[in-house]
Amino acid sequence: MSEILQISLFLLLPILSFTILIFFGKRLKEHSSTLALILISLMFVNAVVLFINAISHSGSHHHHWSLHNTFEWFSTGVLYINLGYYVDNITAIMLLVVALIGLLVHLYSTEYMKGDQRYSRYFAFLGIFIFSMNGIVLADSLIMMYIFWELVGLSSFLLIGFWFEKDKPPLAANKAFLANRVGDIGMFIGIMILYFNVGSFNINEIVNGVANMDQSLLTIAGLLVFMGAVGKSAQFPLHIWLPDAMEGPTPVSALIHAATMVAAGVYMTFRIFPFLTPEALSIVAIIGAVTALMAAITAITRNDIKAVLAYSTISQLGYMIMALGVGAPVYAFFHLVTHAMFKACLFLCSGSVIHAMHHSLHHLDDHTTDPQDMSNMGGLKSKMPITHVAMLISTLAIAGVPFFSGFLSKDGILAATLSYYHMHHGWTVLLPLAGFGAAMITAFYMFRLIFKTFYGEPKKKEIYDHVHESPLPMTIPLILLSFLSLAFAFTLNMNPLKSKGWFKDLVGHVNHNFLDMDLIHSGIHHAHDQAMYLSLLVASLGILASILFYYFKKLNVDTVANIFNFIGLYKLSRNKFYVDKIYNKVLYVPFFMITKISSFIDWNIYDQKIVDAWGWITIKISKYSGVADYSILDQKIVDGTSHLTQFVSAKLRKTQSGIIQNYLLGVLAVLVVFIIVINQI
Amino acid sequence: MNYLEPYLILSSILFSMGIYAVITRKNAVAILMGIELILNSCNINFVAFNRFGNFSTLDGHVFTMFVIVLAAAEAAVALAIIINLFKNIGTVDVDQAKEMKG
Repeated sequence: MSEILQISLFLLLPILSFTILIFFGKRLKEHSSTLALILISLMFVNAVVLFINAISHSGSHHHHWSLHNTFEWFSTGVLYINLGYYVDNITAIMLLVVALIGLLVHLYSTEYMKGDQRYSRYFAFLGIFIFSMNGIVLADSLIMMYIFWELVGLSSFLLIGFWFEKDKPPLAANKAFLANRVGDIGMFIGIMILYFNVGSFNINEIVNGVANMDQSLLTIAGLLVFMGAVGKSAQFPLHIWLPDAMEGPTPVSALIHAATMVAAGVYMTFRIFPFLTPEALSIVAIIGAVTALMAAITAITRNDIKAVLAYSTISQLGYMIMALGVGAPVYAFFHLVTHAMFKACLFLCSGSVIHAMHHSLHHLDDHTTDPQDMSNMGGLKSKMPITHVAMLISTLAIAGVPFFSGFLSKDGILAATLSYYHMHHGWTVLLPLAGFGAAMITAFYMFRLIFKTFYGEPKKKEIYDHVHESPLPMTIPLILLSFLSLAFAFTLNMNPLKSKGWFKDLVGHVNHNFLDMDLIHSGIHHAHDQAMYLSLLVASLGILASILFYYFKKLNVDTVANIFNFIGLYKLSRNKFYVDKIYNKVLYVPFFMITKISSFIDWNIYDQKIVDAWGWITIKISKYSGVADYSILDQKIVDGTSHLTQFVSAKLRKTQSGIIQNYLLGVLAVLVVFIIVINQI
Repeated sequence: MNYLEPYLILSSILFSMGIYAVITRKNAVAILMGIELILNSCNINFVAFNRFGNFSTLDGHVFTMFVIVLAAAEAAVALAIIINLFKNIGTVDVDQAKEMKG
């Protein structure tokens, strides 16, 4: 019982926060953040307790610790729909990550969102987001996961469009919702295919039950479910919504669009990984590789600090998906966790910079300059020392420098792609190429961001003069997260050549229905050294190039851009690979043409010709019937009656003399006539 | 006089006189007097028929008493109407009271 209570607290506390703040937020005013902070802290403590519980149970290597419970939701005849939770080490880690980042973002937001007119509603939305995210993590069945999947979509929609009175946020929110919709439709169809073939929504039962399924159908079903992850984790070709989602408040970007929600797709794919067929996995790997490389190239030419981070997030998510595709789910999950830490840190740092820029611009009464544009920054190092150090640490982590967390996880993924190539040969060489290429570009553009923001001469002196370091509630999360971006947080092993640590022990062994995981594991192990040296090489190349370009300015950026332009790469990057434009051409333009044609048919043909013709006929008919009615019925028959009445009464009125004696005479005459008549009878 | 006819003749003479008075007189009081004559001719008829009509009861007499009482009441009401008429149009000439002319 206490177990169920402990698990349900993960859902109850955030939804309680949401309910209270939605109904009483106006009355609580600035206390609403305190309330939300207390509730999320309780949840964090709960997550820590669960996590310690998981650690204490994971002593023996082959023993799988798990808690699960199922409740009937509803049943109709032979259809039983169950909801329940399934908690193992991975769930415990994921819950801790969500709770930790959630807590830090809450703390950060108390300062960042100060003075916003919808302060309490912001925290209410954060509450419903954490509620739905925990639901995804805890779900033991695909249908329950789908429900919470849609709920995180909703909370993401609400938070992206939080400043709905501006122009762009509502459009961005719509775009995010629609792009996710596409993925979710596929996911739902996939879930249904699995249900009708296996007879259960429960993930473990599906994993055990797919053995009898037709392989090609299973491939299709697996890919359809994966489509949900393509939407939610912003993979090519549905990644277009994530850069736009940066219209939301920056802490939201850190929590939802960097650390947790977008990682939900990876988490879900991790859960369904055991029954994805090798064919499906190779497509997963390709999608991940394309996304990783493409987003990295796009990130180079962004000038908006958050746009760089957005594309970087897409690229890193591509890494995770690629890792799943090549059969290294442990590294995918590892990268998910390390990425959650350093990317949340990066976003919160960028928020800190934007916050400072915004205040400076506000001070100068300048409302036209974009506070997020890096070309207005520069030299902020001395002004914002804490932000600078935190951002530098997390950048080193994302660039894959040893002793930082990103190195451990990214290294594993690159080793996995390399080993995948060793096993399959042929086209699969593209996967490690994309992986290493993206790693180099990542190092390059991340340092470009650092140099443009914190180093060099200030671009605008007057803005620079009014920039100040952010207050304590904003810097504490930065310090904590940058600490967690260090490799020590994940392994106590100081030797970068050996990446054993508590984390991988905790995740343990992941089984697969069709693949020999031991073989893959030893392959990765063999490729590890090679991958590590290569990744060190590409990372240092990227960093070096960045230093030459942006720190010493030895190389002219424009010349190099022109060289790349020669092969079309620069233009591709600048225009985000034309994905939005292609969607515009392929989807919007034909769609508008169809609507125009149907509008033409509807208005010019149907409305103007057919409907209006009926009107014309009706007018004609009513004209004749009007004539008939008026001149015959009304004028002749109705008026005729009245004329007759008038004529008769005009004659009769003369008998009414008004003299009583005349009347009496009449009465007498009638009486006499009556008597005569009666006598005759 | 043991015959019915003389009574009926008297009654009809009285009735005719009453009718004549009602129809021809202009004075409202005179019309009222004509009505009294008509009522009395009725009374004579009632009593005469009761006497010669082989009735064992005295119905005709009782009726006559009722008619006399009624005539008294009617005269009171009619005189009140005539006074009001005089007050309204300043005369008791019924020809002047032709508000009802169509």
